Amino acid sequence: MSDALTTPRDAAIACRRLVKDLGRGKFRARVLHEVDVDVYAGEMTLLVGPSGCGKTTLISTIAGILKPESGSVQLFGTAIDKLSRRQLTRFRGNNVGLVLQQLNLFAALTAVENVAVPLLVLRHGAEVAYARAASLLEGLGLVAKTHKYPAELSVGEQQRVAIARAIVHQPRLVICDEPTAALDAASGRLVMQLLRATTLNKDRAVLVVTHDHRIFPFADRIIHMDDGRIGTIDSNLNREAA
Amino acid sequence: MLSIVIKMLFGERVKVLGLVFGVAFATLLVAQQAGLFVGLMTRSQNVIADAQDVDIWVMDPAVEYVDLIRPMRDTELFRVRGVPGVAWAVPLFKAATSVKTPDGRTKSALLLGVDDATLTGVSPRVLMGSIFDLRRPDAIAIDRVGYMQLWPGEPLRLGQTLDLNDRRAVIALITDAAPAFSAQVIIHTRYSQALAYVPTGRNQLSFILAKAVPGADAADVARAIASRTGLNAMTAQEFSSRTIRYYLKHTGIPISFATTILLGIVVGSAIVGLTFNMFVTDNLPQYAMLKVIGVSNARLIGLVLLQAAVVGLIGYAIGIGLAALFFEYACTPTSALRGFNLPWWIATGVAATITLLILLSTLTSLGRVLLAQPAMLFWTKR
Repeated sequence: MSDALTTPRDAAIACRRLVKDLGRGKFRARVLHEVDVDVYAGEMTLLVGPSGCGKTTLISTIAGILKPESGSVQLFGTAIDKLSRRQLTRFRGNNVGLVLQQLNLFAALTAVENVAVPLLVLRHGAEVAYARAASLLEGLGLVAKTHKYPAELSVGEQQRVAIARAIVHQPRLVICDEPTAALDAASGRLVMQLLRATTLNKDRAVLVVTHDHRIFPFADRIIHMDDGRIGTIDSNLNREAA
Repeated sequence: MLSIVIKMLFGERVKVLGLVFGVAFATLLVAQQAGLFVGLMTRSQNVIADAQDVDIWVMDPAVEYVDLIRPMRDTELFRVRGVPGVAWAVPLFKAATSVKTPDGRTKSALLLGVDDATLTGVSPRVLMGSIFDLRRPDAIAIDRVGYMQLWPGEPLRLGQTLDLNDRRAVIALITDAAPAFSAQVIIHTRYSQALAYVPTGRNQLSFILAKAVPGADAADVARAIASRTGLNAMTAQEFSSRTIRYYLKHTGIPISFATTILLGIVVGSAIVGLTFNMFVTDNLPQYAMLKVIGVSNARLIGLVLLQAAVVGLIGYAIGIGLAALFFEYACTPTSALRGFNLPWWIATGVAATITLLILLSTLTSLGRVLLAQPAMLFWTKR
């Protein structure tokens, strides 16, 4: 089943004729070939495809981390490719939460401090930031771990802290890069359940890059990518967690 | 956010220790060497500074600094006294010699013979005895540190005798004379007595100390003395500066100290620069993550500079504290290192140097922070 493209205004993410090259000189290669893709709020969208097909490049461009050669990216109606670097950083800070495969938790900070960082960056008061971070960790079943350092947490617990950090400032878009790659089946399932339960609501879109077939049942839509192009899009799936 | 960044800094304990050590090392070395250098230069002109109430120093034209003596005829004193604008002029005899205690302990000494009548030129800081006791036969004044070197462990006592070129000298006065550049003992006595202790040639007068009449400019009077007598005359301040300049120009002292100071800065910079670079390199993913979270480049620079400032402040505090301890405990008023200290302007200058060092070290690493692309986080796989 393939979707017809909607107007950018309706979509949380709307990419149009997106082109991105990587590398320099003779090693320069086109990674994204005029990609058109939409992602909707209230849905968990999985971006799947073989290694090297351009998934990570696509989400990096969507998050405003890479600048496209041509084409446009709109997030909730804002053309991010038109923003200055400063505006883009501020926009990303306010609207995008990222959970990366390498979690990149701050090793010197406790779980609650890690989660509070995005709020502190957005200049919330420390008291408010720590209270909200602690409450979120409690919701994720980490009440006993709030003052533990990342090194003292299991991988699954670290993953939950990373998710909490990605959503603590209530971004409208959450992007996850291979969130279950390093987890066993049970842990992966738990993380996906948690992602659905804590991040997904009608105003927020969740985009997950994955190779992991085991988590496909959690998706509302699955976008297949191959060789820098969007292939089929499976919509209105039966969701296991729904 | 600031406390978070400070915590991130102290999370890297070994590197923070390295950074603090580098800054503290540079601070200690630069502050201590600069303090010693300034102290040494001050010592070189202490004889001039100690002769209080003297406006003008007159000397043979060949004399370039206070420790170079070319005796003048005694009659020059009267010629100087005859120059308009001179309120008074007195002789000063200056010679290097040695003194020996009755039990044979020998030290080098600076012998200063002051005007018999007025005793002008004796250190005004008298610790024991009366300055007028110098008028007694064989009477001398000795400085406290010199006394302690001649009679270590013994309490200060008047009446002790010394052998000065086979002549008896009796301690009638103990002063706190400012330390001289090289001599261990500073002795003041009457001019006539000094000549007896250190026989000289036909000419004996080392310097003439003069005072300008009230309202007259000392520099003008010095010029008048020079033009009327053919001698060299300058204000005490000019003679001090000239003496210091001589040591700066004609001895290896400034090069030696400058080399050590430079070494402190270079080694400190190398330690701080390399460690900070390692710190930044290791933390690039964290800086990139902060960018992902929404920290702008300008704010990130501020945060990195804050981390550098905290390290710099701690290192500087430790280094300057150690330097202060050195001057406090090693340079006591009774030690051979007395007079060496850490003036506020050296501490300030070192702070400025260290700030520059930290800034340069940080700037070399800041480029990497600014170039840290959030994209690196996507391609750094576990």
